[in-house]
Amino acid sequence: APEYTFKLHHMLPPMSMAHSQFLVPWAEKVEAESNGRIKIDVYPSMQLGGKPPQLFDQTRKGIVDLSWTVAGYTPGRFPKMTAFELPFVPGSAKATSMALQEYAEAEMQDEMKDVHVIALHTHAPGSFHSRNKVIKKLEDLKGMKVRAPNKIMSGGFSNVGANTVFLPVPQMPSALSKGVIDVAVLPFEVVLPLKIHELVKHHTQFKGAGLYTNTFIFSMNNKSYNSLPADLKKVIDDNSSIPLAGHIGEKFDSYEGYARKFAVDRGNSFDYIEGAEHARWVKAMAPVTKKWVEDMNDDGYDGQRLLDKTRALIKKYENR
Amino acid sequence: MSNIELAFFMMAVLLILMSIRIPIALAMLVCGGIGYSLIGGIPALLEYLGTAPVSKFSSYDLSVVPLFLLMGELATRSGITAELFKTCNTWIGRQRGGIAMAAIAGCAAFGAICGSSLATASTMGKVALPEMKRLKYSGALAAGSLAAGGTLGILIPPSMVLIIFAVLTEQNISKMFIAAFVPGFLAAGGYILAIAIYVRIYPESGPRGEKTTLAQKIKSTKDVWHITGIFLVVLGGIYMGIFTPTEAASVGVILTAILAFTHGKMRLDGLLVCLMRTAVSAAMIFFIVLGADLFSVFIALSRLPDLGVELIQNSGLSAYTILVLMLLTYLVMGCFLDSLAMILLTIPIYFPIVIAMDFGIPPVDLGIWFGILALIVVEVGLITPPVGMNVFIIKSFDDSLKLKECFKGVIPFLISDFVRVALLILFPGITLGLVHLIS
Amino acid sequence: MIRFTTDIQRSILGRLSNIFALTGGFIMLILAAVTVASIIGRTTMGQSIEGDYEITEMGLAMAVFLFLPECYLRKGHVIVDLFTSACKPSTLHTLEVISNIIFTLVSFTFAYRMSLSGFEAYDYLEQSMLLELPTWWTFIVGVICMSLCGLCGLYRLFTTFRGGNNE
Ligand code: NA
Ligand code: NA
Repeated sequence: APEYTFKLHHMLPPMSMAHSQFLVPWAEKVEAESNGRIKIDVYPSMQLGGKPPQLFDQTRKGIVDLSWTVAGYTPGRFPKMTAFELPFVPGSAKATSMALQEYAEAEMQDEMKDVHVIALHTHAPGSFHSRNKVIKKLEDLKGMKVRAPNKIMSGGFSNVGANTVFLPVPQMPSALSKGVIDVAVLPFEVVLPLKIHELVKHHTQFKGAGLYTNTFIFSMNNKSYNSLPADLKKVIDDNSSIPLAGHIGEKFDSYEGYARKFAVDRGNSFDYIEGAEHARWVKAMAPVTKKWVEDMNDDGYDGQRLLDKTRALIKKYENR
Repeated sequence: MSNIELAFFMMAVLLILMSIRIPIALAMLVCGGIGYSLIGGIPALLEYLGTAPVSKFSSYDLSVVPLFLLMGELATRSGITAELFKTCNTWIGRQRGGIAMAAIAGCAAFGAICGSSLATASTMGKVALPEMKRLKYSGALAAGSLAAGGTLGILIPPSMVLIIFAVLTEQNISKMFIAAFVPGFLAAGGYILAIAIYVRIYPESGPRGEKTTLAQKIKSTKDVWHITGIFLVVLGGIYMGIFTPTEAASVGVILTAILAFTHGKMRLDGLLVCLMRTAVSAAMIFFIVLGADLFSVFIALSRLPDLGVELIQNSGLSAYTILVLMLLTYLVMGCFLDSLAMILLTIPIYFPIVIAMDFGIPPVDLGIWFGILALIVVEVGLITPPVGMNVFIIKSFDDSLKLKECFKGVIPFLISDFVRVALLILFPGITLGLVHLIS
Repeated sequence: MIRFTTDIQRSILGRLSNIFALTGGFIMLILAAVTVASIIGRTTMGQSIEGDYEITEMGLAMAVFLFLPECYLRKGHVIVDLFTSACKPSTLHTLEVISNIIFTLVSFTFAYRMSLSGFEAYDYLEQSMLLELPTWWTFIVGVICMSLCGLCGLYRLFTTFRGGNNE
């Protein structure tokens, strides 16, 4: 019988890539490497109650031992992490995830002190998925009803004349099919399960720096971690940090390609924003970044330094 | 006691508490709480209690419940829906059981704008129950047809339960809605047929109304143009992409309120009564949502569902037998849990098993087909004893109704449900035909 | 029973519950209006109300809390009377006392735990995604309403034990 049984709680269904491709395999790997002394029960779909924004606190308070959640669900809690959510910051999920984990280990000890971080990571950069109108250049977005992925990006889209509509994720497919929104802004990894590719005809991706990403927190309760003897702590540690962040990022990158193929097979159109046009988008969204730096400065952080560090780290891992 | 044994034990305790008049929500909170603390520890339970009410109640999806309740109150109190029923009565009141049939038709129409069974049952119940009583319908037929008619609220799209199912199983929500249409209208047809047969056996339960002339019929139809107008605006708005089905509830409330004040007999004191009655019904539903959540978290923690999966996989039974067994478990669970809780608890476990089985249907279609079947059986749980939420709602409108009588009245509709489920299992084409036709 | 119910309905607790329920009802009306305004805004001027669904979620939670005491006072909670219809009035009376005790305990437990969680929500700046509405507002409403539920339960028990004619 296992000496330690832990509960891992998350919000996605069991069919999701996150559940089947890295959370359950991670749990099984830890079980195997501990020779069965640690057992991890994975509870998908918020089965243990609460809403996704509470997952982090459930871990912090020890209601569950481990959880995996989107950091953006709890706005204001992890201000330094939001550098990774700014427009045209992210690269591949792998590089960005490893950069985030390194960044967090150096800069975010205070924000993360209440939990034992297993890994922080991001998804692959998101793209546009539009119903009727192709998005080829900046002006095309004008007047379109866009469902933005977060507050920062909605500010950016408003700047270029889009009408931002706010809807919860599960409401998106019906809103899209009925024309309540024209454009969804998502990575393909989310497009596939929501079947967005069957509701839209056009996809627009960015070559070069990605449009945006979201950050994720995979964490463990401090007490649960500390209850382990040194050899079992090592098992957890061996499955944590930058290598794990890179591994999860890699999963997201490859799944992005897999999910995108479904849209290709449907015969949807694909457009790319690159070169000079890409530079125009970066310029148009720059005020958002500028405002972020100012806000961070107001809150007593060195916004510019954090942003520069974020970019430098992503570049470092991107070039590996 | 193992966790699994504890789960069965607490289910039994729950049944006992419920049968000795402890409010259902309280019974679920107590049993779920005790079970949770025995497995997860008291501190974890206390933490859960601190956050669960706020997180359960701040649900965008559930906002339609009080809104549609309020819409029904406004329409009822201002006399708008009574006019609608008068119209139905002039057309088919002469028919034995005609008003019950009209109520089913009304439920189907209301179900096409409302995604919740409970809201449909309350709205139509409030309108039609007094009318049926006035026309000397038996309590059993009146309550039975309204409770069953209420289930059309989730059977006919849009549907809250279907949305949750689609999200859990990563199905295309629009396709699910299309797939639900034929079974939904089959349900309405089946219920009307059930009434026709029932009044043939018990003629005194649904007496004939007065004879009306064609002129009267046409005149009464002119009286209901406004409510038909609201219905068309809401339905048209959804299908033309002006608003989402969830937003439709708000549109409906505002339009009905305007109509009630301008055209109906609504005054400020009437509005206050509407708000008060909405408050009581909504609180009752949300308190159950809260109790059901704690109980289903406890069941998830006990890992009972996983045991079920293991048993099924090692049983060597045929795909169809397993499917029927799964659907039967919903009927049993329908005694303890509400429909959303059942879907949330079981689908993550059942769905992968179903998808892995061979019914000679491609996986994409299989998911849709199973979803509709699960939806229907879950909905049947709303009208089966001992806990049938729809029946409770109807009963709460009229103190003279006895629960036993209500559940007796539900029987013909249950038979109709079982026949329909059997048909849908045997002929997947009924569900999938329209999906293939449209996409 | 009627005299007893009238008592609590007329008491200050009863009046408070009334006001609470009506407030909740008006909140729902306002939420509907906000949603309709948002729909009109985005179809005519191309701009919906930012975070309208967050307003809906928070408003709904507050409204539901505000509804709870009135529901208890009007005995709106669903019970199964299938197996007890043949029981003596005194038995029913005892069962009702039991359920009132449970209700009171559950309400106060919720109020107590929610106040702790509310402080925590305050300390940790819990807020909604777009509008950054602080969640502790909802907790305050919740704690007040759960406390009122508990007080109503106590009142009912108190009058019962003082010989209030129940049933
Ligand atoms: Na419906
Ligand atoms: Na039932």
